Amino acid sequence: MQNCIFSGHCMESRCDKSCPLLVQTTYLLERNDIPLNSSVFKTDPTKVSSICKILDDAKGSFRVVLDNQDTAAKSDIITYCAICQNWKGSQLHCVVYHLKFSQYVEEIQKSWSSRGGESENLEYIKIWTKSAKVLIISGIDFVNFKNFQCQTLLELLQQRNSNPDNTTILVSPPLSSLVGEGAFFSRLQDMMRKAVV
Amino acid sequence: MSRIYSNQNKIKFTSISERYQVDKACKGKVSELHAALITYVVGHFKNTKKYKQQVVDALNIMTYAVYAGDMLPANWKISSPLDNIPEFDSDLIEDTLGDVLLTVDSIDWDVSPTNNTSEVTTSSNPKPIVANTSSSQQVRRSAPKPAVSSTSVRQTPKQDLYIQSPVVPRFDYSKPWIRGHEGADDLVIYTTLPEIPTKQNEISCTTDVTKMTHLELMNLYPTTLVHTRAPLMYEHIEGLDYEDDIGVLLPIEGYTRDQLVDNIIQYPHFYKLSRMIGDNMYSFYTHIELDGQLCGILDVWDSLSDTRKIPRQKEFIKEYVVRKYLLDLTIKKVEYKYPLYGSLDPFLTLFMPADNYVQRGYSDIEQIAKQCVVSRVKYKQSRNPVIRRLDHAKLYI
Repeated sequence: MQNCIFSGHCMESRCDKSCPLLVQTTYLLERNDIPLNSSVFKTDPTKVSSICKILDDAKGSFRVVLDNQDTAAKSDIITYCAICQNWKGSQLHCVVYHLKFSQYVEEIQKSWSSRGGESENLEYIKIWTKSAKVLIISGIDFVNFKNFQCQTLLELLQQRNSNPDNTTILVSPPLSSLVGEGAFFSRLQDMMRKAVV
Repeated sequence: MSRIYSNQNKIKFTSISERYQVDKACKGKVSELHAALITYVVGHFKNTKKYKQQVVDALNIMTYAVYAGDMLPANWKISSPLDNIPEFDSDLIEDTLGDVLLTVDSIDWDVSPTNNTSEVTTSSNPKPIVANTSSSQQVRRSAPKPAVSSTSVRQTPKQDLYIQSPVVPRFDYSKPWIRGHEGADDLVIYTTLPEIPTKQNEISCTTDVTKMTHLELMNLYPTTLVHTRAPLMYEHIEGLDYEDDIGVLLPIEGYTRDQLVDNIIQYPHFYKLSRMIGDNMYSFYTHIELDGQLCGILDVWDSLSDTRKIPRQKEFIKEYVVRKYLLDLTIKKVEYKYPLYGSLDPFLTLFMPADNYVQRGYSDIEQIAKQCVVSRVKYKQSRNPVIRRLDHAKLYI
């Protein structure tokens, strides 16, 4: 068990490294690949406030956050803030999940040529992507959006939208810099344009 | 259906976020939304029927949205709360809100019209927005009633004053403040960020008051008065004394009114107080120590000389037990056999702007802010389980 992000403020009666707060936050941080030496813990407070506001405003909807510098870092910060807002009562459910879309597409494509079908990893990604209360999607900068990639993302977004409790945040570079083609790509861009924060 | 608020029983506009009698489960969210609207309206108020109606509609819709679990639309912004308000069926709102529905006539519009359209933060001469309603003629008013400024003050959110950690904690992994091993556990407290706190709730075990400048200390004061005691303490209770901004004063034998007020100013907030009885930790309020004997509070409550006029309610019992303990400790210097667990020093919470402290005779405001930091650090260190584990084992590295 790693150390606790709240330890400097903690006033629990004892620390046996198994209190719900530590267990739930640790689970969500590990699930989302955020180690304790991550830079998210040093994020500028004004950035934290603005991201918390984006998350508050986005509750139950789909939003696109644009970033022209480092979408991976931005999505990690959003994921951390979402974890802090949602860990309470999560009971070790993956309530916040950061999906790296390029890796997801790669996993799907790998599964086509695999004899055993979908890997366990892919199955879990699909479960968490579907069930997470807050889903953060990044990694679309590295995707060439052809029909399959567009359809996968559109279907995922549609699936998320069918549950009014789901919040979906897509972290994207400026829309003009996305690479893709075809009718589905225009549709995806339209959809994203309408959801830009 | 009869309504709680009418033209005979008006609620002050600036008190709505505090006093509006809404279902307890929704109180927090409703209060937060109403507070945002009030802050905005104070800075943009127009004394017209149309504007007031717009504000009332917004208040009711906010309450309805929370009651019904409906989301306010995505384009609704807390910074411009009168824009993009969704339309709901007025009958539906009336049915849902029932007796807490607000109308223009049920509100005492204690705000002045302003031409100022931009919000201004005034820190040099802050005017608290919080105002107390009083229908009782018996209420003593020793302090001038706070006026509502024509320019709105950015209200310090109540959560900035919390003892608990900020929602999104920040720390410097490269700077362990304390580290050690006990058993199989590697125990670490990293230096929290910001190292110089900008809000009271950012003060942690690792905060070093000696690094703070005068301005940084002054920054910890809220811009407006914040009610930090339990909400019931700000209700007028028949037979109990009341002071504006401070709230209800419970009678405690042997102490004067001034001593009570002073004690509340120094200790305006109780959070998770406990004491050791034998090997077990109990909530501080479940027992009271009388002449060295520990008694169950409910067993002796009715026989205490002070409690005849005090409602037999949890919040009042808590307030009485702790307040009496603090007064005994600080004024009579009574040594309790079963003291409070951990430290509780004065000015743990600064609940009003620095000017208000000065007005009340607490002139050394820098020292008070410093005391706030020291008290908080001590409060947290004395309760921190990681420090305790390492302390017991003397296992610091």
